[in-house]
Amino acid sequence: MSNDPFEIEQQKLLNEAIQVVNEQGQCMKIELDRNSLRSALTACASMISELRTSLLTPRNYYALYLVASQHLNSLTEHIEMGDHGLSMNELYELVQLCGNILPRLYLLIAVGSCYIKSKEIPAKDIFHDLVEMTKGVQHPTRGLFLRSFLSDSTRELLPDRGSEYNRGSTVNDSIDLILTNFTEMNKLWVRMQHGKSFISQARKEAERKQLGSLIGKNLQRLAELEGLTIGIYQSDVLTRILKQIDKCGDVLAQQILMETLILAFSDEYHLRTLPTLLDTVLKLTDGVNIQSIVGLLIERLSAYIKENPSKSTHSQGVEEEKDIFLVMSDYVVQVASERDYVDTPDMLRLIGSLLNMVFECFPGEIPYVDIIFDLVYVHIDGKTRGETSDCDEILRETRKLLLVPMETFQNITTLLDLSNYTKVIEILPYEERKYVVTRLAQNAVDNDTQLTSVEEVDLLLSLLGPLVRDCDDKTGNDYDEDFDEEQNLVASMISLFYNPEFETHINILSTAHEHFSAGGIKRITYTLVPLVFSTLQLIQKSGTQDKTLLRKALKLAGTAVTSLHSAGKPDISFRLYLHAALAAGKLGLPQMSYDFLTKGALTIYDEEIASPKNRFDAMILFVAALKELDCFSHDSYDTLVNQTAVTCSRLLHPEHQARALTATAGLFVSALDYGENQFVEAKLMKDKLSKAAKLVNAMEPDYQELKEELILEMLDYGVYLVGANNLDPTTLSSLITVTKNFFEEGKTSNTSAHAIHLKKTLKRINQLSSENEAYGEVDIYQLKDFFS
Amino acid sequence: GNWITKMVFVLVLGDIHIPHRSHDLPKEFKKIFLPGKIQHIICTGNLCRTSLIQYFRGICANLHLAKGDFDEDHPLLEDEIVVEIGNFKIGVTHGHHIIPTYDMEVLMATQRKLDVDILITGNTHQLEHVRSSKCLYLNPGSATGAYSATQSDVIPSFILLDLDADKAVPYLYYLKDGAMVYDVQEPFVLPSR
Repeated sequence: MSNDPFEIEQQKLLNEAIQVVNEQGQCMKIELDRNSLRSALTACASMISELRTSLLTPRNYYALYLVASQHLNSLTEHIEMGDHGLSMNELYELVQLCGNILPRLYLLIAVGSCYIKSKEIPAKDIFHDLVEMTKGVQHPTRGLFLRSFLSDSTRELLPDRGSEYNRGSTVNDSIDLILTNFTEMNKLWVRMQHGKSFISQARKEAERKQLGSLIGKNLQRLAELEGLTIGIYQSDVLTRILKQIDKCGDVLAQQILMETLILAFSDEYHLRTLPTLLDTVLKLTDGVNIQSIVGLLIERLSAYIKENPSKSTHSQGVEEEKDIFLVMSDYVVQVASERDYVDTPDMLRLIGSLLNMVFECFPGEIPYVDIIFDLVYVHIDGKTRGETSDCDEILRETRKLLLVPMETFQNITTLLDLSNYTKVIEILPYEERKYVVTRLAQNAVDNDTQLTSVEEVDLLLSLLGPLVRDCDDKTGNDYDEDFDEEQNLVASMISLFYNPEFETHINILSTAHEHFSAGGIKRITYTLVPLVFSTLQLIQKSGTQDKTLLRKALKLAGTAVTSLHSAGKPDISFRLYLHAALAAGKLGLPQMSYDFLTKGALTIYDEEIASPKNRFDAMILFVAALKELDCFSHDSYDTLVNQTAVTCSRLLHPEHQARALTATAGLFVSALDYGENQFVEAKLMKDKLSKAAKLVNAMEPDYQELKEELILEMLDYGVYLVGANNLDPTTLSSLITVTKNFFEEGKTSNTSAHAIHLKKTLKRINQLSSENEAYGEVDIYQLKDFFS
Repeated sequence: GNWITKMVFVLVLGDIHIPHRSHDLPKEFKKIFLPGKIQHIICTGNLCRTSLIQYFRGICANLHLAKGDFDEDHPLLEDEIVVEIGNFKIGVTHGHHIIPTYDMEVLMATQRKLDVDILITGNTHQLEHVRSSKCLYLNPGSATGAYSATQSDVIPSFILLDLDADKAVPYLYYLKDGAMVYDVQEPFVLPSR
């Protein structure tokens, strides 16, 4: 309840009027029950007199009208029952004696409908009479509701195909009645806004708008007529309706009535009368939101065409058949150019309904989608960066449009072919662009969409600018919580790049490398690592024998690792160089492999891997990699292995040195089992082990546990080396002796974990001696006393 | 030890390499990695993306995560793990420090050192299942079928270990022709100590 004094006054007036209406209605009922028709009519007339008021706003008048019309319905029900003793004609004359025009006419309409129902005379005669008489009330509000009452009262009584009221009347009479009523009601409705008034213009408009359905109802009645054929519609009815709409020149009326027209009549009719409709809409008054009208029309046509695919084309006169989409898209362009003001967000929504039409009705026509984005581009160019006050809304609508094809196609390669689509993305402001391209990337990953050409990948990675590098128009902070997610998304895309031709695939990866290496330090760890592995995987799976191409591919991998290295990622770069070396080795490219190991991995090791633990880890990995390589010449391998051993012996901590040296022992192989290329120096194998043992031995007593652990590791590894690399079994015996000494020095119990470990190892040696005589020569019994 | 008779499922997987070498676990696998069905997760290493730890936590609370050569330092990743699950003593290490990782003699040495009944290693990206009288040696391979320098036919695989009192039944899962299949192995009986 508002505190507005005007409102309070209105409520008071309304309540008072309703009270009187109900009182008089009650009187009328009593008289009807007593069968005193004349008294009832008198009471009724008094009741309707309340509707003569000029003091209520249209909305409040409507409320009053509704109460009154209910009572009037009781009256008609009574009259229809026929107990009143008067003939219809007499009754019809009787009510015309009523003094005031408004009650007289309401009563006349009420009785008139009963008269029609009686079928004593043709409906058309009554219609004619009532329409003429009602012309006498020209007050906008009173006149409007009076005619609404006429419309409601005659609703069921319209002559029509199959109707019972066709005596002496045809559907044309119904059409005339409705159209005349429509025209009159519209005129009054439009006039409502003029003249002196006790309410504000804005409120008047709002209340007028609510009454729109009263006028629109007439169009619905017309559409419901069975006898209204397409022929009559096209040649006569539509013309008359449009004439009234056009002539009244009222913004609200044109808006509401055009929309009602589109919704009321069948879509087949609209297709047949399309040129007329489009012409009319184009010429509507300034201020009418014709985008929403056209949008509605397009939606309806889309639904119709979807159900009736054969109706998807249209021809005008001697023109060729043209897809309805093209008709409508051309029309949208025309609208934009011929109207004085085009609201951009509304236009985008209109374009949205066109886009929907493509997907619903012309799903195979990809170029149509591009036509649409051309339209979008034209409308948003110059408006995407806050130049206008509705920028946010423009961006919202644009985003919606961009996402629809993504969701529909589920294949971004189709979108990459649409130059206008990508153009639109490129003019978006940074945050918006980033959002859209992130969605594109996610769509590709979700659908496993393959990107198979250099051009496609180049275009995509350019579009993904906000994700892939620091853009010039960047706003906000890129490196926030979402950064990890984003970069992982970009990394995932690399596995989507594919081409069955090896060289093309390499070129694609090379293009990707160019884009990614411009990404800055934070990004390249995410992007270049997968790129390197993608390249190595391609090499591994390709089966190609072309050494030139393989070298090209490896070089690309190497370049990517170098980029990583330059950005300050030594540990991972080191590991990647090892992988590149292994790949080169397996392809029989020893020089490349050697360079990756030395100029790549070892250089990083020397210059950049600083912490003792990291250096140790790196050396172990280096040894493991060497163990897998068998492509080198005798001399190269010799150099590598010896260099490795030297580097291992220079590690900072003795336990690292010992472990690393033990590992290098495995690189020395007896000539008996391997080809000429591998190094042959069993003595050096033994050499490394004994050096390692000495290091451990030199450790202080405080490190007893560690010493035992280390020597046992070495012993275990020696067990392996005897069998695998033909290590001299006496070396193993010496190691056992060293172990025995450690245990004695440390007074280690023979039930300790290390002792138990030792026992198991000795047992293993014993076991192996039955398979390999070499093990038989190891002196395992030197610890017999220790374990007894 | 204490005689626990409840059935325990242990998911064993590793060498995942996200996002370095693959972008997601196979959806066929994710369908059965469900909370409530798995009590322990053992990972041989090389996640590499630490958000996978969150994903594992969503499956169960007991995580045993070894550190691979491409993993960055993280408080939950360890070089060597020895854990008791049920009546079994299980050792886990990635294996890039073991040279060569695929040699049985060297693995047996690791078993002696850690003194375990089940030894789980990775690094080779090859699904392995070997047993001696003393120990069950398992390698779950690469859960994503990630690139390996030494192995050119990597297929996505993992192992589900069903521990029931003193029996361990390994189920070897892998992707074949786009579908997930498994081979169930004979139970490994806990050796007496």
